[in-house]
Amino acid sequence: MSASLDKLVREAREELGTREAKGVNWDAVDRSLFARIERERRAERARFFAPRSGRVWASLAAGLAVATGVAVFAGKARELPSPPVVSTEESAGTLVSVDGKTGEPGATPDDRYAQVLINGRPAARGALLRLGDVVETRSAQATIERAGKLSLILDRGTRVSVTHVQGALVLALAQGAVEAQIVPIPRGEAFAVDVESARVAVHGTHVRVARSDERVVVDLNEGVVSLGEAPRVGSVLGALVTAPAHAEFAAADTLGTLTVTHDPSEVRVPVALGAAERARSAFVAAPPLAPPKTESARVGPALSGVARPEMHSTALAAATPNSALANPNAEVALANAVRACMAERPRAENVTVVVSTTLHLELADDGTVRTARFDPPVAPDVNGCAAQSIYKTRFAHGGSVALPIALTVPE
Amino acid sequence: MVSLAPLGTRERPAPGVRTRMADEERLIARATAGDTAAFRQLYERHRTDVARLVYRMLAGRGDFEDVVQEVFVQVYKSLKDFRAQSKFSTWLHRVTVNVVLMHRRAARSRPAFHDDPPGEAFVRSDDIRPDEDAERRERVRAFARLLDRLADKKRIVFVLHELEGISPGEIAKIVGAPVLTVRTRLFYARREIESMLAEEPALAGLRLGFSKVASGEGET
Repeated sequence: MSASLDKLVREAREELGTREAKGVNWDAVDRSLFARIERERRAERARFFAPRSGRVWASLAAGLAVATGVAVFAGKARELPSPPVVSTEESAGTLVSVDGKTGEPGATPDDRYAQVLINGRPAARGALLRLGDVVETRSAQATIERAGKLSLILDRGTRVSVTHVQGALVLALAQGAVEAQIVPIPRGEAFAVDVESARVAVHGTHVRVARSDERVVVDLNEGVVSLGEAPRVGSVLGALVTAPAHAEFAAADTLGTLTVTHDPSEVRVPVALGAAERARSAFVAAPPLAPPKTESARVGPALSGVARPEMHSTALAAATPNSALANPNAEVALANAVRACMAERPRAENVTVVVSTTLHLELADDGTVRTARFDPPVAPDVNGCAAQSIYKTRFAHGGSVALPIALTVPE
Repeated sequence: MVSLAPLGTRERPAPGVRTRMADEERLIARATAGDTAAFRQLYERHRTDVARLVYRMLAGRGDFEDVVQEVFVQVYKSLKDFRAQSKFSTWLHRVTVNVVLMHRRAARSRPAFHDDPPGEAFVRSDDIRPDEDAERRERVRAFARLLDRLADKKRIVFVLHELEGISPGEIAKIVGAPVLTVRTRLFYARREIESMLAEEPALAGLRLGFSKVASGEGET
């Protein structure tokens, strides 16, 4: 290190951030921090006690309703305390089947269900899972369905807790593996698995998430997943990985340790999952994305792919690339379509948004788009919107295309 | 107070330090069990060090107080996962580094508001002869601008080692990379800063004055 740099470093060691750290308005930070922590504590308590107390309140409310009816009938109506508000929270799903050996000859289905514990107690067929429930499988695997939304299998020796049920289902995976088939939704995330602070979030796909200590393994057979830090609210801002893919990372540092291979032979063979699979096959008209060329790469946010849209309606499917005519101005049309997606994003007034990215396309010989990625990546909703245009476009040539896209809103 | 900075290089703590560490272990155990008062004590012990580190890693950008707050929210949420296999300070550094990285990544994915690093608007006038303190402050601000231009991974190891005094072995645990990788990043970080030193007009000018002051020529 040169003498100049050495002295600069010495000065910076003494001064950079030292005064600022001492000058922090700690009163304000303390107030805000401990208010947030209190909210966290309340939310945590709600997560673990609300379902049980909810059920108690429901029984109480039912009892009060009966009591009120009796009182009115007897002409002795009295003012009763207002019944507590009964939570109408969504269920996380229903335990529909348990498969596996119990280890004992002549084991009955009930014995199999005893291999699955919900909050430490043996489960029963049809058991509803609720927010805060902890599900453990022993020597059997459990299938859980969320009607019309997803089917999932918990491998043997898995422990998960249900941490979110409104809209998206979020499971915290403490050990074992979860495999899920999710019916695609138009916007947002339908399902997520948290491993410590890392999140694997999916919009609609067939995915398996396994945990071995701090290591997380994701096998993706269809669609796209977002990998990143579990956000407090909103979508995961991280790497988007497109199928087929086998990804591994350390839970403590998702993006820093993420490795992805798109070699189909590396991706675990999916288990056929029930209702969601059927719902999906009825819903999705377009075939899944053809496997991209085999590649094994370390990816970060700068290598996020654009998933082929899963939401093709029948009408949209009629305009699939193969039936479309080659567009001699495909590049211009595509760039305009992507810009329109970016421009549609909500933004605050008086804010100028400047976006600059490059859309990298790999084209088949017939000019259809095989793979697409933005570098640097764009927001997940822009990805989804752009994908609708990208995979409908047919170029007049094959090969690779790099399409610079810049946008300033308002212009 | 247990200082964050030198812990990484300490092999055998002195008796007084051992007492403080045992005290800290008890605090951690209580905080993990949900004792908010214990968490508050931990927070008060470490908040200034965390704030300084956050400021340095953000190179003075943005609302660093918000990031400091976020660090302690994450500490609160993740304390149950602290296994005591590493020192608390190492774990705290790791949480801090991760929160800062997430903050910067999120900031990059948001629309740009031209959040200039500190001192960008500093206008040097020949009519003004700043005193030595002012020059020194400006040098530090210019240095922060250089840090800001480094890639995240290089800036983190540079800040942790050169400014916080943490050993490469400890940094390896913090960033989850091999020691050799840490040393390589450190080497390239230094080299890049050296080359940027010449490119930074404010600092190049300052370097001249710096040399004069250093050699006594600048003194009147």
